[in-house]
Amino acid sequence: MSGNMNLTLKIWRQANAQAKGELKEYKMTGVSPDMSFLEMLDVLNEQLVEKKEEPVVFDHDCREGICGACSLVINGRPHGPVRRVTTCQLHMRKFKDGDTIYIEPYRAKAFPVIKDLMVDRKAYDRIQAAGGFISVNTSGNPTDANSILIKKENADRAFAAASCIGCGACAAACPNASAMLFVSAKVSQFALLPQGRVEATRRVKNMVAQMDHEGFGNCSNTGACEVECPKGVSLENIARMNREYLAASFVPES
Amino acid sequence: MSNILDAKIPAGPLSKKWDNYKEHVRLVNPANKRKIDILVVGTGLAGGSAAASLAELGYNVKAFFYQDSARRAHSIAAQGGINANKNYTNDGDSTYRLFYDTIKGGDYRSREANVYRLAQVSGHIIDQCVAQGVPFARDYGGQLDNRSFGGAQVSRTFYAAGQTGQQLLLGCYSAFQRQVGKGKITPYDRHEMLDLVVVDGKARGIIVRNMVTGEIERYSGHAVVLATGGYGNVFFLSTNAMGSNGSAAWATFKRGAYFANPCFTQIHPTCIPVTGDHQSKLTLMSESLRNDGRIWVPKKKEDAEAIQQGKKKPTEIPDEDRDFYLERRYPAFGNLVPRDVASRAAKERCDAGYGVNSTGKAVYLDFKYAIQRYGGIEAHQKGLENPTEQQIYDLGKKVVEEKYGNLFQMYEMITDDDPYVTPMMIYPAVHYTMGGIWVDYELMTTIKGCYALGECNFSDHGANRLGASALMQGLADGYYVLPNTISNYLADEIHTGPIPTTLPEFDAVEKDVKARIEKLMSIKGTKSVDSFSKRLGNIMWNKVGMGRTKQSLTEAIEEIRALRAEFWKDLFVPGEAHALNPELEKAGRVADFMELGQLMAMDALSREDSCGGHFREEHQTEDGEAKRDDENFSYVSAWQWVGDSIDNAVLHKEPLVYEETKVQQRSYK
Amino acid sequence: MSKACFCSSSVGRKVFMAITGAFLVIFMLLHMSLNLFVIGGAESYNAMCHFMGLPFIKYGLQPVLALGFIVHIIYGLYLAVKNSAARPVNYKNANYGAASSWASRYMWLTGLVVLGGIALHMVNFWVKIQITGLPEGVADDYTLVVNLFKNDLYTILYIVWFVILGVHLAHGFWSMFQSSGQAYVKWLPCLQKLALLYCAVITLGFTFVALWCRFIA
Repeated sequence: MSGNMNLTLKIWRQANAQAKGELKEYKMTGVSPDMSFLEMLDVLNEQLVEKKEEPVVFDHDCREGICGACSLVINGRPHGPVRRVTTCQLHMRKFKDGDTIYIEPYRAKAFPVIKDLMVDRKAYDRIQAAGGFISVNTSGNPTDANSILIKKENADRAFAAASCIGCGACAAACPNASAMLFVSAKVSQFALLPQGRVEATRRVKNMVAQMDHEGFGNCSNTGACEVECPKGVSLENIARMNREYLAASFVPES
Repeated sequence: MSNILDAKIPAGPLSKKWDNYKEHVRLVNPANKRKIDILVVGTGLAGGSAAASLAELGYNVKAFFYQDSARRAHSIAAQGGINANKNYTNDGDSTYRLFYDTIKGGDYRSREANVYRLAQVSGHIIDQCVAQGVPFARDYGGQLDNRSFGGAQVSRTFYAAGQTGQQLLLGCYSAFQRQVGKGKITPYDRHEMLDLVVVDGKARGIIVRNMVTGEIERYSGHAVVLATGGYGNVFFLSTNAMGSNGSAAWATFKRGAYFANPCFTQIHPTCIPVTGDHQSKLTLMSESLRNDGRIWVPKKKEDAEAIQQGKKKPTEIPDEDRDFYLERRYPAFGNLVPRDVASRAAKERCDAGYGVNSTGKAVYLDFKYAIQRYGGIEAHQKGLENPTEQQIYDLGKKVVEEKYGNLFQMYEMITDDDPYVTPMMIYPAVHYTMGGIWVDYELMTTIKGCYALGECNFSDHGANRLGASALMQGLADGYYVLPNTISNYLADEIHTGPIPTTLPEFDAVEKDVKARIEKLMSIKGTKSVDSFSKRLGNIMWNKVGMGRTKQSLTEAIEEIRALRAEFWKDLFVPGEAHALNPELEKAGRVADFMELGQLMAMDALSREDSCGGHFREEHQTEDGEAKRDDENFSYVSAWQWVGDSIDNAVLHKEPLVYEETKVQQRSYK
Repeated sequence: MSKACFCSSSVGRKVFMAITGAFLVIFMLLHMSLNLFVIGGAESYNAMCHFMGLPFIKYGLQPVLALGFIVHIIYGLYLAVKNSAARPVNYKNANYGAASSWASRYMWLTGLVVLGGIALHMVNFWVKIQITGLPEGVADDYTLVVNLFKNDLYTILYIVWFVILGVHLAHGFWSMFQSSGQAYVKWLPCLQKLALLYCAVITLGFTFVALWCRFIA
């Protein structure tokens, strides 16, 4: 079932990390409003392959809004114009026949372009490696899961923070290219749980240091990250991280 | 039994086997662990947990994954939960009961000792995850909450909203990244394993393609661990991720590992149906919806046709003209029959022409009745006398919203239909593959030093997997089984020293890999990879899908053969081999699927009975249920690659022995 | 353990912005209250000016105030430069407006405008009162200020200046709670109202004094 939408796409094409890129225009006809945004790009790619041209490269995997692989800045907004939706779940019915759609890669010094719309987001992995964990080995004799009670409210808030999919939209959306929402979500998840409190001080200092080292910008509380986050991770986490960092820097450990 | 298929089940009573094993297994001391390199392929629940645990033990781990981050493996998409034998709810659960449910759910096609071990370690998994900071759902007393799931009479499923897989994988990923930070794991992102290097009968390394540069690279290790997931994408449309593939497993198969039960595929009944030719994947709607939704299609064919043509709306069909076929066929279980049964029943109705979307491949899952029922109860509780229809609807909608709001929202996002007003449309879709690489009790394949974990192995699920068991198995293998069993093999490797990648065996395998890439690039035909992938998927879905016959399977084998020949003659791959090239990546995977699909059909053809997800239409009871033949088919089929074509694959059989389970026929009437 | 010190970390810098900002927030409130003395007539205003010229304020508090300004300005500009370096290639078709307020994105700009206003104010007013002494023909501080506002252009500039300051504060006020980690979710609605109230009081207060001088004094 093909549809009846005609679109003009302006897509960033860049051969590799060193190459100079440019926006290229593609005309799409017969787009179905039931297609997802990425399926629309699949169709474009299929057409390009038929014309023996190189298809547009973009990251994607699960296509159900949870793996965090898909990215894209669509008409200036990470994951497109609809809130709380990843690009893979954005559907073409949210656009109008005759629209011109700009598709660009995430832009940040810490997210260098690899090719076309694909960027390198390993900075997030390195931040996680710097402290985004609880130092516990796989135990042959673990403590029973119910031996430490956790307030439901705290467990729920930790879960809300942990629902971050690490897609990088926060840094892409931030006018300062700051990764504070991502980092603070991880810091918050662990800070809210008794298991994570043990090394909270060390964690927040190391993760912030790594974040700064990666070249992300500074948070100026614009709130764009929260608006564009496909999982609705809250700014409250950034406040919590700032608080944790202050305490970690000045409150002497007992 | 051929000797190579010795599962090495430890002696002793079932409940003591694992403890006995652990008490007597050979160990590697800490100083020697530092001298040993392990290659782990895949970073889902099984691979990620294995890599982290092995690194914690002191081994040097190199981890390979095709995604840009270890956190993106498709385990992340699991929704429902993870089973464990905790019995926190005091409803009679135990290790034995979890074991028994899993064996029975698998329709008596899995290995007793493996499944019992799985049930034994399941509780530890929950403890470990909580210690890692996985935010499971809790009650107001601060304790972990449980929900119930299909195939069990107890509440043993732990969950984190509808994102349990995500939370477990992120827990595992955090342990993984901790070891990356310590330098004990070296991650190789955007690297795809293309082949296995076997030296003197032992797995010694892998050949990978750096997906960014296109370079072919060699890595050596004292053991190779495959945790590369399932091969559901052979059907083109599935709930798997776009990149999920069977190529690493397939390469290992070609290097001597046996492939077990390839035809056992799980088709999940509640997925959002296909809307058009452009669809790239299918999205699951949680099984829990069947608790309150009623499944139906129109009774009259003209109604069905009118709906298909968009001339009629489902809400215009009166109740008496609706066919609640599950309730009709299975009065005892109704809409809550197991996955395989529900899927087959939906297909039967659609094939008969009663499907309800424009493609005729969908059935309704209707919440109208639940809304009315809940609304009535609420109105009664609120003391409303003679409530209006609208009042009842509003009250009922609120209850349904609380229970399933997230799923309804997701459904609306994808279909643009409001499921509170018009019934949801659903259709079965490929979800999981129970088959995989054959492994023994230690999870070692038939190649020494090569292990397979999680969905990648032929697993503990027999012919049908129960809900919330895949997460359990992945983590059990990675956290608790492999770290204990691998030392039995590595104890002999402490004197081996570093393995050079300059061995002639590496040269030979790399040459093969390069030659195949060269061949794919040089066909320069006219058709895209996706076009072949779709055609293969069509054959698989129609002839090796939910209902299989001798004829359909024979035809499938012929058609796949022909398609494969066409593929190697008329494929077009744009771009270059020595650069980032997603089309080339897909081409390699589809080339392997072209063979794997055929093996699935061959396996299904050889199994002249029906069990779990494998339904041979010739072998059914009078009322259309699966009819098992335990006398002749109670075995694990293990296929061996011989020569240079899948046509020559040889079937071996590992007989299944049930010592503690009474084997019975299932019925849901 | 930690690889960087507090002062040079991104969070630390923001805390400095918040602390100096909070200091200036309090100062602005104080300054506005002082301005209101104008309504009391020449005597009250001149007395206030005399008080503000006492040595402990002139040599004790004012340098501290100046330091607060300087740190806030330098850190602010430094951060703006660093932030723009964090995105060396910008979007061709950016749409930041969809997700964040203009005020939050252009703090550096509104900050610079406010700085310009301060410079004008210092030259026209503060220097004359506290350093060089009143120019010839001006009887007292009260006359100086009232005369200044008799100039329409100055009055308009002055009001525009405070509107822009209001915009700056609209983001700055809640920001200082967020940056220092004190923006608890439960407080947020309250904080937002407080921020609005504060900005209104500051902008309207200063504007009122200007208009009072122009039309009533």
